[in-house]
Amino acid sequence: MASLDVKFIEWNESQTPGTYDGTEVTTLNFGSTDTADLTPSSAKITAGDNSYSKHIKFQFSGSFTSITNAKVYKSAGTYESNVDILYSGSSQKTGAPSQTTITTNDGSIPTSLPSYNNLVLRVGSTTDAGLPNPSDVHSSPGYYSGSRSDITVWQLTTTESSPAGAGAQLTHTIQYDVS
Amino acid sequence: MWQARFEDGSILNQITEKGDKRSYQEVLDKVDVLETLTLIAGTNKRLFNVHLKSGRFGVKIHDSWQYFFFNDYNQDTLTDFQPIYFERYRHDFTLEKGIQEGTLDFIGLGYSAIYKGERKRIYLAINSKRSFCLKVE
Repeated sequence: MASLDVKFIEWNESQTPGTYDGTEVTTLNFGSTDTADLTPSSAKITAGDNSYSKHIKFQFSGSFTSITNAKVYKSAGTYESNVDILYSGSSQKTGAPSQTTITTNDGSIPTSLPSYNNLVLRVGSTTDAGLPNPSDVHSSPGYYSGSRSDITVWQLTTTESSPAGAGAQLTHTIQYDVS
Repeated sequence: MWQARFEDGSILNQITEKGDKRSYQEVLDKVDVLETLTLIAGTNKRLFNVHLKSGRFGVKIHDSWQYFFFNDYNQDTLTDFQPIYFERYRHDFTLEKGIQEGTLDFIGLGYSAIYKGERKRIYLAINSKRSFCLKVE
């Protein structure tokens, strides 16, 4: 079996999952605007501020019966001093993304494979039961193709001591089991 | 590919005679009468299987089946077997380049069962080189 096709789906401003389908994006660039696929040099973050939060779902396409045990973590690269990325693997999207520090049970994104599943997948209302979530299927080339995770929220934070310039090159990883 | 054998001797192959791929859901739909689940792995056709009535694992090496059980197994310590078959993938992504194609970490073949009052996942983790180890979670 080949791996599934995994994509980011983003919601901006007052867009709400369920009433708006989301925007497929190819980047998770952080910035000082609430924009999908933003260009960082055009949305620089002032030292001491946060980026706008990102509201993202992971979308899985291909043939599968279920997806379980999903984990997201930073797998390579080192933050610059006084820079961090906050992450929440299961959130309700309320209101528009902002630069206010997000509330998250997960804190910073893990820097190694976490022991718990920090990307929530659910069948119906059952949390962490895995995918598919047939009520949230958006394409149909495969069996449950297009199923999506819960909303994740991401935010880059800085302090007044954070260095100027482009951020460090960081690699993140999503791991999951598919059958 | 996986192959499921049921109590009545019938067999379900993941790949049909027409070359189509079956959903694993077809195995789960008959889980009450599932007897063995086999993985046919790689060009050398190494075989791995698990017997869902006893919890016995099998590995075919040099045309000979080798069988073993989970650690301190005896008939009374494991109950309520449920099959496990999955493929574990990892996708890297950078903030600025999106999600890359996934790579296979390993295939899991085994069962979950109640062991000393807790549900445990007990499975062979079989990597792309067909090396394997037994995992208990």
